[in-house]
Amino acid sequence: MSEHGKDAAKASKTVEAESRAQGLGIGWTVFSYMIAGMIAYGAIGWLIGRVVHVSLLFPIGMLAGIAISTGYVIYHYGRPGSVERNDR
Amino acid sequence: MIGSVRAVAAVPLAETSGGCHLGNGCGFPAPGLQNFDFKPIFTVGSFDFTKPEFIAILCALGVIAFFGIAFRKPKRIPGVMQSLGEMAILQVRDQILRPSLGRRGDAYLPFLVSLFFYIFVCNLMELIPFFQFPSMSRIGFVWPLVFMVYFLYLYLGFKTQGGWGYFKNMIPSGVPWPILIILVPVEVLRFFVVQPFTLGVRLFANMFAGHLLLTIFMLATWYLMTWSYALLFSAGSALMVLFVFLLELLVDLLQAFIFTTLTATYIASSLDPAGH
Amino acid sequence: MSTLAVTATQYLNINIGAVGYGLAAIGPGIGIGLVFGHAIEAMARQPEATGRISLYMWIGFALTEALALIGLVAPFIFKYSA
Repeated sequence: MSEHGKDAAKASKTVEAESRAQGLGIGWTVFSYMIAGMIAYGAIGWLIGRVVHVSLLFPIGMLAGIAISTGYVIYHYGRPGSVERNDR
Repeated sequence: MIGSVRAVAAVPLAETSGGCHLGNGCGFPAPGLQNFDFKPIFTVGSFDFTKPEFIAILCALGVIAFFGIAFRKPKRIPGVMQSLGEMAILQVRDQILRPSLGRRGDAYLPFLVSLFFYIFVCNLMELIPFFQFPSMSRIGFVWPLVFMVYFLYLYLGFKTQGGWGYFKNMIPSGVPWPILIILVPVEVLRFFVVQPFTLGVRLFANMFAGHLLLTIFMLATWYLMTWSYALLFSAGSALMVLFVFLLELLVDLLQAFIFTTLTATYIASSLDPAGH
Repeated sequence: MSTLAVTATQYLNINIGAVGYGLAAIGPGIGIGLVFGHAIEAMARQPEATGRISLYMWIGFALTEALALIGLVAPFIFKYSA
C-alpha cells in the first residue's frame, strides 16, 4: 500500500516538474517570438527606410513585426494539440 | 533632446574628492551606476582586478571545494558532506534535468549542476555582509555563461540534425508559403539572437535591480538616522531592508533555477526538434 | 579643509519616451496577471482541462504583451515623424 502511494507521489511530482519546465519553456518562447518579430521587422523597416529616405518606416516596421509575431503565436498556440496535455 | 522635459533643481554639488558619500554633506548619495564601478585591488598591465572578479573567483573556488570535499572518497554509507552533495545533485537532476530531457540528459548533469550552483552562490554574495555584491549584476560575468549554453545547444543541434536539417526543422510546418516568407526572419532572429540575449539579460537585470534596491534602502536607513522624526522613516527603511533581503533570497534561487531550466529546455529542443 | 555645499542650478533631463513606456506597461502588467491568475484557477478547478486552458492562456498572453510592446514603439513613431 505504501509502495503504491510512494510511486504515485513520485509520478505526480514528475508530472508537476515536467509541466513546470514545459510552462517555463513555452512562456519565454512566446515572449522571445514577440521581441524577435519587433526587432526583425524594425530592422527591415529601417533598412528599407534608409533606401527610400522615409525614416518613419522604422517604427512602422516594428509595429508590423509585433502584429506578425502576435498573429503567429495565436495561430501556433491556438491549434488544439500544440501544448501537450499532462492530464493523468 | 527630443521629447525631454527639463526641470530646474538647486542641488549642492559635491566638491570633495571621491564623489558624494554619506558623511560629506552633499545630500542623499543616490545609488546609481557609479555603485557598480570599483577601484581595482591591483592592476597588472591594463588589467584591473576588482571586487566583482574577486567575488566571482571566490564563488567558483567555493563550489569546486564543496563538491570536491563531498565526493573525494565516496562511501556506501555517506557522511555529512557526501549526503549534502548527493542531495544537491539529485535535486538538480530531478527538478531541472529529468523534466526536460529525460534519462538521456544525464550526460549533461555535471554542466547543469555547476551552472546552477555557480549562479546561485554568486547571487548569494549579494547578501553576505562583507561582500554584498552580486557579480552577475555586471553583465560581463553573464555573457560567458550564456555563450557556453548557446554554443552547446547550437553544436548539439547541428550534430544531431545535420547542417541543413537544423534550419529545415525550424520552419513551421503546415503553413502556406507566402506566410512562410514573412515568418522566417522572425524565427531565425528569435532562435539565434533573442533567445540567448533574453537568457542573459534576465539574470543580469534581476541582479542589477536587486542590488540597487538593497543599496537604496540601506543608504536611506543611515541617511535618515538623525534625532528627529526622521527616525521613524529610518526604521521604516530598515524594515524594507529586511523585506528586500528576503525577496532577494528568493530571487537569487529563482534566477539560478530559471537559467538552468531554460538551458535544459534548449538542449532538449536541440536534441529532438520541437514539433511545429 | 575642502569647501562643501556650493549650490548650483542643475537641469533634470527626463526622457518622456521612457515615462510613456512606464505608464503604458501598467495596464498590460495587470492584464497579464489576470490572464495567468484566472488560468491557474481554472486549471485547479478542473485539471483535466489543462491542455485547453493553457491554449487560451498563451493566446491571451500574446495579445496583452503586444500592447506593452506597442508602448515601447510609440516614442520612436513621434521621433521619426517630426
